[in-house]
Amino acid sequence: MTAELTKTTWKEVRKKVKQVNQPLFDEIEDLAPDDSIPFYLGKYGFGDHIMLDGSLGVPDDKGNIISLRSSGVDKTLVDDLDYAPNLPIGLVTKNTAELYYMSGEQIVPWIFMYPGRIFSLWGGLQPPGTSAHAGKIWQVTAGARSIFMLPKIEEKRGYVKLEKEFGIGLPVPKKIFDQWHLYRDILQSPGMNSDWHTEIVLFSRSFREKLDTKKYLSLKNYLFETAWLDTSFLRDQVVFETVFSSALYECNLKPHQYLVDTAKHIYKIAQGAYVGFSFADSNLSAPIDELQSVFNNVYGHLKSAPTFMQPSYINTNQSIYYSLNIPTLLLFSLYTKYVNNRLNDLNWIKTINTKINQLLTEDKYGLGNSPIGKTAQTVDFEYIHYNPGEYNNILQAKSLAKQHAVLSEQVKSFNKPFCDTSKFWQGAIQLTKR
Amino acid sequence: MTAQLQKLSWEDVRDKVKNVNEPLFNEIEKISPDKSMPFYIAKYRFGDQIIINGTLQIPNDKGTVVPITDSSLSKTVKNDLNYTMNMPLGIVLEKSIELHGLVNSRIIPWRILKPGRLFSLWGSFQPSGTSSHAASMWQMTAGARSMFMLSKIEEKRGYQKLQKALGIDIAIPREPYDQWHLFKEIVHAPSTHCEWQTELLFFSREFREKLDTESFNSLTNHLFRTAWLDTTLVRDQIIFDSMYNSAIMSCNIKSNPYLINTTKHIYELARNSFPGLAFATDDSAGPINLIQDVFVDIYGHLKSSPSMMVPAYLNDADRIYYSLNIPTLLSFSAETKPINNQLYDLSWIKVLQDKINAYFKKDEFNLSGTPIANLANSVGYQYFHPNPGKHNDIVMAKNLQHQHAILCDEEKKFNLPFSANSKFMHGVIEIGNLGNQ
Repeated sequence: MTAELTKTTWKEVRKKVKQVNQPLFDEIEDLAPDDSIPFYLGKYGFGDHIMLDGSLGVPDDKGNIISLRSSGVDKTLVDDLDYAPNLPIGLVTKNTAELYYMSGEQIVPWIFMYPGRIFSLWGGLQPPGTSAHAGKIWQVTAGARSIFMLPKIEEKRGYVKLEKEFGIGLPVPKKIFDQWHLYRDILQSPGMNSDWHTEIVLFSRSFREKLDTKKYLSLKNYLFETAWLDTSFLRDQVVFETVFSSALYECNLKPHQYLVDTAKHIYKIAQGAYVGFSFADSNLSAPIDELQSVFNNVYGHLKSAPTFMQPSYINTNQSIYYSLNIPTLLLFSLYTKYVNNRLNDLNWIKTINTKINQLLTEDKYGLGNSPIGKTAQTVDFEYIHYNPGEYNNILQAKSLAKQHAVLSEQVKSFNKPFCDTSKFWQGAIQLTKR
Repeated sequence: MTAQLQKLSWEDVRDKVKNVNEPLFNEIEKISPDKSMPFYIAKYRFGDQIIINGTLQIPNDKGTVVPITDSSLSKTVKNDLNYTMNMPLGIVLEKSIELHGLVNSRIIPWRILKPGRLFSLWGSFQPSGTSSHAASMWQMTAGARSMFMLSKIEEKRGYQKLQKALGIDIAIPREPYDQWHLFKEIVHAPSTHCEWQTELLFFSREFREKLDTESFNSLTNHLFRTAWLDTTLVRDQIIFDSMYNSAIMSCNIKSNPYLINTTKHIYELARNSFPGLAFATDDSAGPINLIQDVFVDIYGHLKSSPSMMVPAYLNDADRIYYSLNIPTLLSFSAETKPINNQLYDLSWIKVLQDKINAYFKKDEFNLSGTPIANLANSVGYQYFHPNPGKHNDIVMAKNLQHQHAILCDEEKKFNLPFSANSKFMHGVIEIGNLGNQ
């Protein structure tokens, strides 16, 4: 679909807000903003940049996404929406959006936003010039940016068919996260006619200015509370780093720093601070059904079921995964030259996590009721490889097919086996919240 | 003096708050809390521990500082003050306090709080069970914990004199941070008649509960804004980490992890994430003058002037210092331990910083006008060692004396030279606001 950004009023968007974030709705409803305060309703097709190089992406006359700070953008739009270092304050009302940045050639997923999530509170509440969250590194896409399919999709004949069907030239993705370009181009091609979109509501400058008035104090405090809770992990970081480091020291473990950093990152994912990956079982992060159908029916040449992995926070509904082959570690680029046997690495990470869990379970650091302590008590770690060999403590990837209903359904529906030989399973960690 | 706790009303404490934090005073004044709402003033002696292993310590009626759960404290005090994971919301009224981590016998300086500074905002706004700051690693002292004297104080005869004059019996400190135990004993000795005290104001449970009501909305908002601004550094961490990481990659730096971690920590000090160390110029961190006099007049045997190092942020001091011999990195791994000699490491850190600064100045992240951009543009770095040898880029430590009036004053006052050969000086990085060097 072609992206849209429409100026509107509270009356027009209130129901959408109510459906996804009742507490925010209640706060704003009490204030009953009149029609002089603009709100904007944005609709972005899969892969459109809601934030492009650090500023709001807006559709131009042809529906292409350009930066709000580009020349030629309507002055009213700039006046209304360019008041924060990056995006204006807003809310996801339909589907999802992913905030990420590029570190060299690596994609670093930062926040995955579901319906109801308020965004840009950090910038919206920060006095100008006091934070480094400006600049051009940040990007937000409509739908997941770090999404990929497990089976190999490198068959040239398949690409010829896709090109013929959709009338577009598509390069064969070299890296797993390059697949996203392909999905975006397919979904946005005229031949596809996909209606999938992410919907957001943007609050205007005059709304933001009202937050500094007495009448809006209660709403502002609500937003501060939300932002405060949302940043708990970052404030806990000093405790996390110290405890993790101290535990390793006490256990006299001296693995390579890359493995320490990876084990730490996995623990942060277990705590809910960062995303891992889950099997996509809905169309929330992308039009999965449409993409699966394209690859099954048009591309063809699939040797296994077109299972998609999507970014996910840990929750009690499904397990999430981290793969040593798809590193989302923030500082991974420091270790790009690190080479070792994945099974060996996996075994080291298991040793580190087991020791950390043991010390935290004994409550050596007085963290029993804290997020770190609760992680040790409520998250199970399993270590997975498609071919564990002699490692009895590592699970064979093919056993996953029986654990997840969505995989069994895909095997049945596409009449193809689960892709347990994917690169993703050459050293993965499963996190399951009890 | 002994530690004390007084239950008071807003009327009793308002002037003290006004003196140190006028915006907060104005906010509370608008509400004018009535006399039934308790406020507590707590006075602690230098070295009294306000938090031990994450638990608040309160002076009881006898002046003994005891855990908040202690039976010598009244039910009312416990109920009024024990409502967050560590300590009640409050403000420093006089002198200072230091919050630090203590893990595996290592001190990790974290925050120095001076008059006017609110504390426990993080805990007060945090719903129960959603933060890990309840950890037993946290400790807080009245005055600075991570302070020490540059001169060697290991002369047995000096300790015999201290014992005789002050009646204290304490082991000779082997490490700089062990000296604090000695200073505390000296200051607490009845014969020193030390009046130095940290004064804190604690807001009660009732006050905290009122923050959730409409009449306190404006004050709550003020506190949220303060807490939000106060936590900017942790939110900016990802940007700093990414930029540092990119610098390492772009400059093709292949140094050992210890040097990369230490250099990163120096930038953390430059951006005020952690305190560094500064020459003490007054008594705000502790009874410096008294301690210096005791060491000159009673201990004797000093071969250099008793300059004291105290924790300080670059924001508050013109120049702060980091010594390779007193690591304060969070990490305990092998990567925090030096591999070579300090002179070699210092020289490498300078090479790294020159490259990294050049990368930062290119501003590939487009961060001009933000606090991180200042790291390369308005902060300068110098490297010191008592004996730089062939390293022309490293300055002789004795030159430091000419840069600090306090060191010249101390030399004159005590008739002893500056302690340029101290262990601390064997590999020191100076972080200074440009224009002040």
